[in-house]
Amino acid sequence: MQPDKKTGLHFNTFKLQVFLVLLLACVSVAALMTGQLRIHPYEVVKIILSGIFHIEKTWSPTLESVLFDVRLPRLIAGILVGAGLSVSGASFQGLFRNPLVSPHILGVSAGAGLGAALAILFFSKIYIVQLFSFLFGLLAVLMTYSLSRVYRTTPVLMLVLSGMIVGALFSAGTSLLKYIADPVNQMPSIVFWMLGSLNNASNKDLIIAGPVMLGGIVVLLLIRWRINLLAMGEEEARSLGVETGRIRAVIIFCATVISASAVSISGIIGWIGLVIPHIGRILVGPDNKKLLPVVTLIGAIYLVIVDTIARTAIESEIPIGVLTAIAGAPIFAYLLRKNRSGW
Amino acid sequence: MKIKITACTVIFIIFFMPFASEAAAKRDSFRTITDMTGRKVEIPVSLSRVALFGGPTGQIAYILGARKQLCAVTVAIRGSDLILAFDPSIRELPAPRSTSGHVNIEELLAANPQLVIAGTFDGTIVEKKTNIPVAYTESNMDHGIDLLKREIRFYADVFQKQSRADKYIDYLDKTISFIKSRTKDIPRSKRKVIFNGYGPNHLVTLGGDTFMHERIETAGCVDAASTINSTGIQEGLHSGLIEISMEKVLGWNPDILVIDTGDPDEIYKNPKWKNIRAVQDKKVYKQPVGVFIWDRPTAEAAVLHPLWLAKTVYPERFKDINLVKEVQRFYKEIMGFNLSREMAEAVIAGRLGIRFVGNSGKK
Repeated sequence: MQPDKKTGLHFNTFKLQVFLVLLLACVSVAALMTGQLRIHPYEVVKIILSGIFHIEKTWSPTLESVLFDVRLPRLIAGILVGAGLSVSGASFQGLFRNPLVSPHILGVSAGAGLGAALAILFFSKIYIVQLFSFLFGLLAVLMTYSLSRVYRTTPVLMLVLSGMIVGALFSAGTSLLKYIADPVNQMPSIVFWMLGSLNNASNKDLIIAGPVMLGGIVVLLLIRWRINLLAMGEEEARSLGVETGRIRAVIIFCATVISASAVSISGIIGWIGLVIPHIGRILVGPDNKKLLPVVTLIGAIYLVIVDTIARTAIESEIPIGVLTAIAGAPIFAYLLRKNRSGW
Repeated sequence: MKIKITACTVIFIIFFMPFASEAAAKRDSFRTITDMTGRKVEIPVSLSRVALFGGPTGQIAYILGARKQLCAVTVAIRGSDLILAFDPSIRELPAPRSTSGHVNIEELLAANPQLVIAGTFDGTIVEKKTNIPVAYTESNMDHGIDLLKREIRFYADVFQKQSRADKYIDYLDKTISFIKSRTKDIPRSKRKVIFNGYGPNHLVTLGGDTFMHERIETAGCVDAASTINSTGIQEGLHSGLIEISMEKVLGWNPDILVIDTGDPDEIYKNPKWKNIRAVQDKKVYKQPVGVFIWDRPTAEAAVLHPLWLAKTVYPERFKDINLVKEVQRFYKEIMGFNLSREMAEAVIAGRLGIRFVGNSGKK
């Protein structure tokens, strides 16, 4: 668990971060240039700049709409969701001292799934679906957290167990709703939603969810060195005078708010929060101080690339949850083989 | 001794008589039909207990006048507002099949059907678990008018109601050729582009390889999604439905947008849709719902959906057509339902629902 100098590739962290920021910039520009509609790159630059500077509008309002209402919000949502899920995953893996943990461990996605299914069943308006999935995600984690406090000796284990219980309960609720849902309209809507997609991301969602997610990410990055202390183990940390309970609560709160917002925008996107932290560890080692910023960047880059494929590869949308696994699994397997790094 | 032999004979006769007579009866009162997949199925001549599993085709019984021969139906038909208004007794029938792949075998056995008519998926389940004969329908989402006619004829053969089938097919052919006669001279460049945007995000649609393409063409419109292929895809349980990106819709810039969830006002207010021509021209429509929703390959929708579409898109070409009256006429002549004016208007406005369990009339 201690930062171990022997494992990983240990790139120079600063250089790596600069490289990743540049890569994210390139990927973002490329994402804005590509899409179902062919728009000349020069035109794309002009339209984007017209949002800031005064440029005479020589293009149709449709193109403007494509960029400002479709591609830009999708790009920003991709960056935020990718970064958010990855950094929450890395923090949770540190917190639970377990490499198999993902941000969904405490039941947030199961809760969000039930919320979304309920909203599709009874309101079928997209913003209520988003609101419900956010609230039910929070509710599920709140239940997990209160349940884990019933038994106070080993909080980490209890959290995981409570997460499984609450997750199972909410998933069963979702299955029940799917069973009784109208198989004609609502059922496909629920299934599409569960598969995850950034297709519904809009500027309106981002104005609300964006600052929340950004706030969560910043807090996790600021307290990242404390996660190292937690990783040492409960007793050791406490003997150093660290209030483990409070840090744990802060991490859980931030990660939950991030994942619940992410799920409300994009549905359930698995795999990223589990695997991106491992890729980060292979690159810079397990020290959370170095790890978290790198993981944040890689997560953002990864989801932007995958979403660009999801919306351009064929004429219809490919569910992003399917792609994240198909694209990520081989990369992960390769890296694991190449570097026998401890987690 | 003698008594013993007599007793034995009597016992023998008592035991075996019923079997002999039953075997004889079996030879006489059974006939062989060919189902839609080409399989031969033995069914009783006097067919009085049939279980219908094919989702949208539940209405077939009314079209053929074979309602009394049903012993089990689907949840969808049992919950249809329109059916319940004219045949409340349908509520009493069991519905062993809820959604595709979910068949309650005990409920089916209790209904004691002589024949189950189902799609491949549900039919296989029934055949594997029971001895009830199964006739398979061929139902898929590229289900054009030709396949629909084949299906009607198949059901007519099962229920022995050929004349009713002819009546429906005649009605269908006449309606389609009438619509085409009014729309065929619209030049390609003047035809309106239509996009069906389903689901809460209005981005789920039926591809150009589905039955919908044929209906849009009949109505003299251009199918925005004609390059999308979706029949093979089983995402979200319904083959034929597929999600596309908003960018695609912006690119097609449809003149007409048809939705099945929410209401047009909600789209008029959504900034994401403001540059779509259909939204600027206030040409967003909610899709009608009759016995079943009209964006499925059902018998009612095959007749009425293209007519509604044509009248909605080109009102000047169909001035003499009163849609309410046409809806009333179809249900009266074909299904024997006397729809009131209000009810026909509710069908056209998409206000009717299909009540599934736990979803009391919400739509």
